Amino acid sequence: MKNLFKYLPILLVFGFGCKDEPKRLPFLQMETTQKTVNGKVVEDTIFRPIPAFKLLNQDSVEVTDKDFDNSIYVADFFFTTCPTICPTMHRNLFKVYQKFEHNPTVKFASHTIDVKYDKPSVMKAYAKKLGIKGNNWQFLWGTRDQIYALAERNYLVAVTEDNKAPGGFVHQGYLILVDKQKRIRGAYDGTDDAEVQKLMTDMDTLLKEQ
Amino acid sequence: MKNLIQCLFLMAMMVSCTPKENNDNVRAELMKFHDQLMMDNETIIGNQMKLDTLLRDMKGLKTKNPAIDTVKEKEQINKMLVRLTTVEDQMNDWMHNFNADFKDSSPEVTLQYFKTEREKIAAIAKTYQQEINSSNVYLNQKK
Repeated sequence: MKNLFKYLPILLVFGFGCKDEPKRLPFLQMETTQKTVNGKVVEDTIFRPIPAFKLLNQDSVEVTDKDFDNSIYVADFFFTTCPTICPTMHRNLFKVYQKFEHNPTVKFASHTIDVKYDKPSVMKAYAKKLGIKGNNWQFLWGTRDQIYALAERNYLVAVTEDNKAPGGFVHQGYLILVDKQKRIRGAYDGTDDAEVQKLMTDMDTLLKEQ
Repeated sequence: MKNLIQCLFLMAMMVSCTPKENNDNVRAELMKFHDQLMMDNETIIGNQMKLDTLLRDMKGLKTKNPAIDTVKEKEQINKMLVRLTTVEDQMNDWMHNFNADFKDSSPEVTLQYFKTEREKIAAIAKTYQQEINSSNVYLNQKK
């Protein structure tokens, strides 16, 4: 008994030491550079978060990046008359939406790439047909330049980095996972069931991150 | 005689192995065209944006390319933009009018619908390539 008390602190230290570190998702747009601080070369990490934006949603209400503060969200690019990739992607994303429907810290941002036709009223009808209630899932409309700049310079950079073929990423059904600090943490093929399942698992992981 | 029989047999095999056009494979082929065009559409829009940028900074373009006549250049860029927008609108119009779920009580009518749409989109695809190539050539010259 005496020995047990003697070794208990050591056992406790080892016990805590062996506990698994909580899983963390990678940062997809992170650069490591070197800088000199007080004469010493140190590594500096630079994140490229999603920049400020101002778009209209399906209710013609202005939506900005501030509306996604303190939330994780999934972003995608689509158009309402798409007969191939988008319906499959949004059917899959609807399952994700249903899983997190009652969690106010989980949001969805679908950006239309057919800005001439998909006016807010068209997107409203599309959202209703899909079964969306409330405002956790925003269907976003902006000018051609706004939408393509967000897609190609921000959300889909992570995807293009992994592919050698140039262009064509806006219409490939990617779902982009963004954390509470607007940093990209994952990119998933929204037409692939296994990838969508992984997205849901990764969202659970991201929600647990401090 | 033996060779003739062999040839006829081979021809019969080839005919029977050629898949017949039906609603499913014509529709699938059409959708492939659509997805390829959507990828090309990104290039069409990207090139429009690059041309818009050049138009906004003719002074910069002149500095990089001192030999150009900016009035003529502006005219050329505007013409190219009109062509790119026209072909993009053709694609958009096709998409908005196309009925992917079209089904007539007559299978022949349904097949004919998808065949006609396939021809329309194939024609648009050809124009897309022409406009992408010519705008790419221009933009590469002005890099």
